[in-house]
Amino acid sequence: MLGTQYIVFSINRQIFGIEIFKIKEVLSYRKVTPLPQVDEFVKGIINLRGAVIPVFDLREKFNLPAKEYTRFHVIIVVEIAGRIMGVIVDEISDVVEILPEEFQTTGNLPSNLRREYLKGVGKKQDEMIILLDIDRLLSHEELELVDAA
Amino acid sequence: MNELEETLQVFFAETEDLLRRSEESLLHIEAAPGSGPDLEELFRAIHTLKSGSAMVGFNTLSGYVHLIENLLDRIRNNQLPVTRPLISFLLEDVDFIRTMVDGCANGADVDSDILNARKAQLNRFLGIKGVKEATRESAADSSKAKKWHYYHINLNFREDLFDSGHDPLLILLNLTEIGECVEIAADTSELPCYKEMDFYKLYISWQVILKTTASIQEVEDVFMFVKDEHNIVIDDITDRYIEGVDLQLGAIPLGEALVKRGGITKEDLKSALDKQKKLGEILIDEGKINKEAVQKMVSLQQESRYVYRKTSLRVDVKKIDHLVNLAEEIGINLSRVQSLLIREGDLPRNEIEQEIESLLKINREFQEQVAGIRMFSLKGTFQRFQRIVRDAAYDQKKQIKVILSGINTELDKEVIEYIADPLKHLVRNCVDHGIELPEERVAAGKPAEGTIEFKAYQKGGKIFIQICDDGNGLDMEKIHRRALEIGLNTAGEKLDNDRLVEIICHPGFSTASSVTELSGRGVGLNVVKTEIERVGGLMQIETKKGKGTVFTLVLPLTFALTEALHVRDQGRSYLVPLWGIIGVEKFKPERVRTFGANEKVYRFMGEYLPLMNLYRIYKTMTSENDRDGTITVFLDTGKQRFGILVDEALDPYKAVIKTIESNYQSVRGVSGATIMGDGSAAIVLDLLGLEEIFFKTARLATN
Repeated sequence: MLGTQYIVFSINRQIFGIEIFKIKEVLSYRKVTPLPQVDEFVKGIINLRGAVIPVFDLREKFNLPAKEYTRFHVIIVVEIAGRIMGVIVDEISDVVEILPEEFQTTGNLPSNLRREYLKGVGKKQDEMIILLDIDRLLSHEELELVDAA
Repeated sequence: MNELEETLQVFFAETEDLLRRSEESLLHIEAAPGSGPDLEELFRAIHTLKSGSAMVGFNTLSGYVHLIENLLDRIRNNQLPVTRPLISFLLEDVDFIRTMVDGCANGADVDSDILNARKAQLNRFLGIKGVKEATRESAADSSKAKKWHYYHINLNFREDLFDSGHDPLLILLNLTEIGECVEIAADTSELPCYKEMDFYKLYISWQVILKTTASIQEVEDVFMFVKDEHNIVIDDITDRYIEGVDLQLGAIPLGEALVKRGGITKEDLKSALDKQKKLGEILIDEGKINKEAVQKMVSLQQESRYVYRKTSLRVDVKKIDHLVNLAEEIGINLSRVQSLLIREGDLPRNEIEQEIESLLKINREFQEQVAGIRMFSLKGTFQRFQRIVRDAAYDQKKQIKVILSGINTELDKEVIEYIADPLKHLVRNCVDHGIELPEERVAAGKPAEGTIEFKAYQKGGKIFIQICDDGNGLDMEKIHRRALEIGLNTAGEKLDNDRLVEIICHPGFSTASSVTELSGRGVGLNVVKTEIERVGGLMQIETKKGKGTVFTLVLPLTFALTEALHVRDQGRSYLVPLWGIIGVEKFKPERVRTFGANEKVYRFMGEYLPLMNLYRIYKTMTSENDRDGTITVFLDTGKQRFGILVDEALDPYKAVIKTIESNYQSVRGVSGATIMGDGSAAIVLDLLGLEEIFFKTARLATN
């Protein structure tokens, strides 16, 4: 049985994963221009070879403490529903393949991480990887929700 | 994009072009009837349109265009005289086709009632015999004393018509042998979807109006074999039906034609028209769908149409070839630099510098050329205005000659789209109120035919568009009186052309009832002015009583480049569009006055204006460093004046605005972002949004 490949990264020492085919590229951290009157989750905009793209920090969504950015941070660029967006993470560690038997649904997990943002968790050796539903996280509706807040 | 979509894109782009050409030719033909080349051009355009639409499977469209082609063929063979009503009809057809094409673009079918009504009119034109022919024929008629009959035939065959070996086509063909089918309408509403269709059954019924000399008995004979088993009703409607169709009746809508013939009264027509509803309304009434769903669909359709218009662009192949060459050049240069860098030994500095120099040069040209792709000539826009003038003048029985000059002046496509509506408004104004009726003109010692000139030219990096009429001019006295009334002017003050724009474009000026006395020229002019200023342009008016009026628009070459002031606040760059800035000066604490509990106002040019830190408005403070800025920038959005406080004001900057919506969503107070020299993205302020936030924040602070 074939598994799904995930790119694995950390935010505040927790390990997360996003399906690899969602990812367009990975950038080193660069100065983000903040936008006026938007949610904390929206960090601002950056120039990606002439295109202006928004950059988000998932910490806000997951109630993790904010952090000062350094040049060692990484921006993962994803494409969702035709829109190109960036997500700031602490560091990228690996690309792993999660086999069906290594996958656990959200059913038994505690609910402090909002379940609708998760696909499930992956169990790889000793590591637990929180698999994000990035489409859901950065969907149009979700972003508009942020705007209304 | 798949192949079909690509074909469709090409078709839509081409069609727009063909329709524009048709319109142009029609206007030429009207100005100089019998001009062969224009007619040929028109014929070719319509023919191409017909085959094009058939190719992409828009059969309703191609069927309709085919009828027009037939009509044009008759004109070409001198079987039909070119008259004004005919040209009007064909121009309407161009509009109609445009709506049909738009309908095809967003998958909506054209209203079959409208389509049938137009087809009926077309057929009436087709049914008209040429002038000479007609006289000859009528002479022959009288000698033979033959009388034309009109029969309304309702052909409602049973489903199993084919089983008895009959074919409706043959029956219809038989009909044409004894007379002419003036109108045929096929009712396909019973037609099931393709999958459920039984090919051995007939689902279509027909309504035919037959013009013939035959008696009703002879007509019935055509249906001899089918009459008994099928529902066929033949009515003699000779008395009711319009006899000896004349040109004018063909050119007016069916309803009006009926009123003219005395068949129905005006009131009948009106009540019937009132009963006509849009498809959406009918569906809502029948409870098939709710209102929101319909509205959502309608707005979706409009959006998709807008997007389609916005995303496709026809570009001259030569421009593209040039770009390909430049791109190649850049590639060659880059590989030369690379080979120099990896050469053994010391770096050949001079050679590398030289290569980079030439790279920069090519790159500059490349950028210019790319920007040039967006540039389009004003030809199409001006021709559309010519059409508007023609139609409006025709309606109002005015005689107006249109002169176009500088039609090849190029302007950014987006700017053209933006200014098209404001300009249209000015053009209408010119015809409605500028140019007088022929008799008034003659009485004033002017030629009966008025002139409107559209002029475009480039001067000093700006595009000038002028609309000049030789009409009555604006009534300065009345304007002066009105300005006094609403307190825009003082009694002693002279009213010159500079003040004029300010006064007649003042929003308060046009809302009052006295506008009509002022020949309505104030209506909507404030809107026109605001729209023009939004693209960074300005409007001037010059008028001379009895001599005419000149409206001049001064526009930037391109919309994509916005002139803006580069300011810095809290270590970040912002761009403030120049059009809104009324002054920039150093912050002087002694000019600040406290206003109420918390708010501060600042004395600027003799006026106290509210002032606030930009980072406070935008809430983009990064550090705890809450200090006042040192530079004030005062803004006037046309509605309010206010000031923002920033740390630094740098040079004016030509900014290429990129939207944030394309990858995110619109953010209030931000019209987009631009890439600065260091590669960072800077926010371009949206002044109207900023104003909104400004006064909201100010209110919150006070409360």
